[in-house]
Amino acid sequence: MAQTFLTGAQTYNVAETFSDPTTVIGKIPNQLDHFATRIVTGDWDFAGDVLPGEKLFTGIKFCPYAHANIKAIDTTAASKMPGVKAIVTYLEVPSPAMPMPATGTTSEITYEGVCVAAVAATDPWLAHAAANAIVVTYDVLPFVVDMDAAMASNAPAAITGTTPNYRTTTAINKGDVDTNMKLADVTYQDTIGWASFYSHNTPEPREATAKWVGDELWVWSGSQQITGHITNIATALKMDESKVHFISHGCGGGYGDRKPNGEEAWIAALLAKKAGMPVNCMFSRHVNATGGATHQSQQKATIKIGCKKDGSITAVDAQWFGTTGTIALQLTYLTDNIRATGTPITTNVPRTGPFRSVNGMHSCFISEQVFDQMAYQLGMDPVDFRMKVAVTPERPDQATNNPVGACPLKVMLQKCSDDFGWKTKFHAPGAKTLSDGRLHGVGTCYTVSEKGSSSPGRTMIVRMAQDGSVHVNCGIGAASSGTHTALAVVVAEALGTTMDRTNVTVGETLLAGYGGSQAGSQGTMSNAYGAFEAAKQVLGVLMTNAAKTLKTTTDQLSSSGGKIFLTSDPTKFVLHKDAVGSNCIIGKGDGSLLGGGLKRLIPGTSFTIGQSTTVRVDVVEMAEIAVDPETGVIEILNWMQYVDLGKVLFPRGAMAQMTGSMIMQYGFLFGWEQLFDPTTGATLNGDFLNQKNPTSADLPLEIMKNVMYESNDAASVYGGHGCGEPPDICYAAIHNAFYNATGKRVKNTLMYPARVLQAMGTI
Amino acid sequence: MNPFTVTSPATVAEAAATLAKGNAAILAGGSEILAGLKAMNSPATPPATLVNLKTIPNLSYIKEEGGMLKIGSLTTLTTIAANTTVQTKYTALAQAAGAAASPELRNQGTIGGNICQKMQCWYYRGDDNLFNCLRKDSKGICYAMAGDNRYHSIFGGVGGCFAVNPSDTAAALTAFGASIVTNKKTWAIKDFFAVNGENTTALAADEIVTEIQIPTPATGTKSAFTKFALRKSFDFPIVNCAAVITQASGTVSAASIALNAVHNLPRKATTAETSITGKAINAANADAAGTAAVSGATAMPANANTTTIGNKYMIQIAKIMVKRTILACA
Repeated sequence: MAQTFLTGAQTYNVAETFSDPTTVIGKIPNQLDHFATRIVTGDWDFAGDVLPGEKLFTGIKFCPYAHANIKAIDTTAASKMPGVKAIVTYLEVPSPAMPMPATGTTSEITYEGVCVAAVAATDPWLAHAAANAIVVTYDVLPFVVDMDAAMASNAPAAITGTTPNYRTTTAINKGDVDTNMKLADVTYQDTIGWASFYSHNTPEPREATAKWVGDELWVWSGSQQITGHITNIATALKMDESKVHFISHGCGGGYGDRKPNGEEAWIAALLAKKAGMPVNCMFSRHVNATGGATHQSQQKATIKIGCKKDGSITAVDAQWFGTTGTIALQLTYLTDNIRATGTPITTNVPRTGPFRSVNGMHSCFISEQVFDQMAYQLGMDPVDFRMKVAVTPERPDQATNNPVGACPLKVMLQKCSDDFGWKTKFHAPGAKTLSDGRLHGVGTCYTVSEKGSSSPGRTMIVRMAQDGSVHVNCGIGAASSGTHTALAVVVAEALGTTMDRTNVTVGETLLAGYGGSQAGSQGTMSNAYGAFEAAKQVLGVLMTNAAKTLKTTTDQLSSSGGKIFLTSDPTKFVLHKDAVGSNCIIGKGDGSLLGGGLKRLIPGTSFTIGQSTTVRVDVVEMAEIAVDPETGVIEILNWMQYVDLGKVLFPRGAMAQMTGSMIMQYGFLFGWEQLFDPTTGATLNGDFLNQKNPTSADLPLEIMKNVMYESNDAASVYGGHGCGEPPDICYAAIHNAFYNATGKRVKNTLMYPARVLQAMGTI
Repeated sequence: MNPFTVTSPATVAEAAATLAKGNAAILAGGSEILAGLKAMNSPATPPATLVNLKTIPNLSYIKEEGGMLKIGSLTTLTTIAANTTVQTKYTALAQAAGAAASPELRNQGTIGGNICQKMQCWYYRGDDNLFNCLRKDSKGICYAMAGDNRYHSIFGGVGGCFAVNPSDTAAALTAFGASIVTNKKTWAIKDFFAVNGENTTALAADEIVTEIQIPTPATGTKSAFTKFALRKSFDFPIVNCAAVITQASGTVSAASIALNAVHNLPRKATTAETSITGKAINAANADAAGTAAVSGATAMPANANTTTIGNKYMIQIAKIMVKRTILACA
């Protein structure tokens, strides 16, 4: 796979000069955590690995119905089975901070896979069998799992007493859409769908291990927000937060599901309390695929665009069904007249929750196909049309009216087009057939994402020990690859120490300050501020001490490579370990212990570092495909994306994120649909076999090309942008290439051969 | 998964005797039996005993003998796929064995297990017997009839069931006209497969496959196997096809073509065989044979649910797989 840097290409709101030239940033070849490798080889302290030989295991009794009322529950038989130590039912699970069905507040279940009881036993398979021995009697209620069916006039109520199953609200209404739509030379309207996704099929399903020590609770679990977990656990169990200790060194993938609403922790805690023993609660693959985790539900949108002959937009009118999807519309395209309604729809599919670039996924996917088609309607090259309608850095953010940071969308589009060879490859729809009979097509897609920005309020603890080594404590969950290393890079750069002397611990509420949520690709950017501030405080003490030794003032000193030296004469230096030893901030001999805040203003601007609206991440993608007209199989021949990452702190980690994002795109295109049985509402493909995760044999890694575009702005410490999620969402490029190849559109996310053949009229 | 014990018989007879006592199941490669035990997808009492065939000597081999290829039932799919003789003279079988499952599973999985595997129908496989279908309970229904049948039979059902046979090697063995040797008898391949409760073979409860026999192809014979699946690895076929074609003087003198994953049982595409016999192998004739192969195919009803795509596409795929498999024999 080709990966490229473009450095220093753009300069807008210029970042503070923290250190230039850098000594650590952008120069670290290997990551410390080797996260992915350790996950897939099991070399990780997952929650299920702790307390070996001490803990009980949990079996879950789940509701197999999409909609039902619990009439009765009988645990008698299960309780008599040998090895069973404790049972809890839905009646005993307290209402958590984030309400969910079957938590004792209601007996109505509105989707399959809700846990109604749990058994703790000495063996996981015994626990499973005992859970199956619990007898639950239901009133099975009418259900609806399809979005369109839920909107029908005769649709059953997905939740009793709450018909209709939808409500429409106006999400945005700017300018005069009706008048300006009439002024358009060309209008185009289309409706495109976005399938339900079984999003969180991570190697490690949701799980937690709980142990009580007196009245204090210890919980080990994968988490993207450890402090949020202790808040919700304490609320649910009616105890002080100070008595809940949460440890999350890592999990088998976060992506939005390891948020603090995980009932696995409450179940484990309650069972452990009852049993008087530690308990591990791990959801089965099927429970995780249904009620145990969160998912992304169906969406669709009808978008109408009006344009002048030159491509300029006169108005955009959109109706979103599922949730609103105005993000791409507002952030990507120049438009003064825009109206959008949102119609959330309730169905009986497993609960919806965050997944990777929330809302951006369907927003970009649908918008970019309708805009692509408008280019054809205008007789314009799709790249030229996008160049015409792309937002520019001079224009304030259309969603917030705040000034934007770097906005190299048009520049990246041009560079990507040149790199890809767009002008030589593009042709009229259906105009090119390859020598093997397959149809050739190229497509593009771009977007501006609000993900990858930073959030305020993070704190960090940096401690330099007497030997000069540095320990960084961060209260963030370790849910993604590269977090440890990226924070270590910031601290090492700020302190002037080396990576091998810098160690990062994440995911321990005992040790760390508030690390916020590892979500929205904000974790590294947000916590980097705390890390930077804390490191600078440590450095201040070191400088002061070193100045005394070197008989100079601190402004004459520099720090690099683990020593402080006279800037004018680097041969005169003091090692960090010698500067820290005699004058520590907190207690002699304890090393330096400092916390760093986040919020402060960017010099020369009026907005606050950390506001999520100040940073945008631009993405451009192009794809070249071949379509087999006989089988509907699509092969990607070339696949390229440009992503504006700001300053790249940790190149290998950023590349891993971008590569992972393209792999996710492949999953969205070719296999990740969550399928429900239309006669029962049950999930059909909640397993690794039937959810068609791409294998290494499927992925076109050799032709995937990532370009890290380094704009220069005040996005965050050292000018970095978060990079995990924004590259996820431009898979409409493949759909647009399909149109270029065939003159048809699939109009739904999954490009199954069946759908391709249907779209082409073959079947 | 319920507790079970594992026995280690030294002979096939000893293994069969344990099976005859009931409440026992065969353990060979293990991928099939353990998946079922973990999923607890059957309402039947789970086996208390697993009979480990791997402790029986001399059940893993490949040899040509007496005008036929003989393969021991415990021979792994990896071994078969990599065997030079199989690759050269029984190409379709080598290709089928190499296309099954994933490299890890092929290292563990056996040819005997591959042809005895149960249906992959998601209604049958639902964890904790989520769907009490008629293959598990005579009072049950076939959920695929009104449900999501995108991977189900395009040639009707047997006994009300529309779940397809998912074996890759079964198509090749059917095309080769193989025989299946057990501790009780030698089965012609056409009689071996059956809709038999939860099983996909006609084997008795205490019957153990010991050897696969394939007649040596005539001079001038080529064979090929094609598989259509949504993934290139670790996936079951939506359609697979094997063809064994003998040519003389530029035309097909004999053709044996089998489709699988399109019906409850591996299906000989006799109309395709007739269509191509006596003709040259070229795109037009292969296409005609493909069309002939699906002449009796019928899509199941597609549900009104917009997410259900039905199985009409499988007819097109089957047609093309037959066409391409024939062309691969040119």
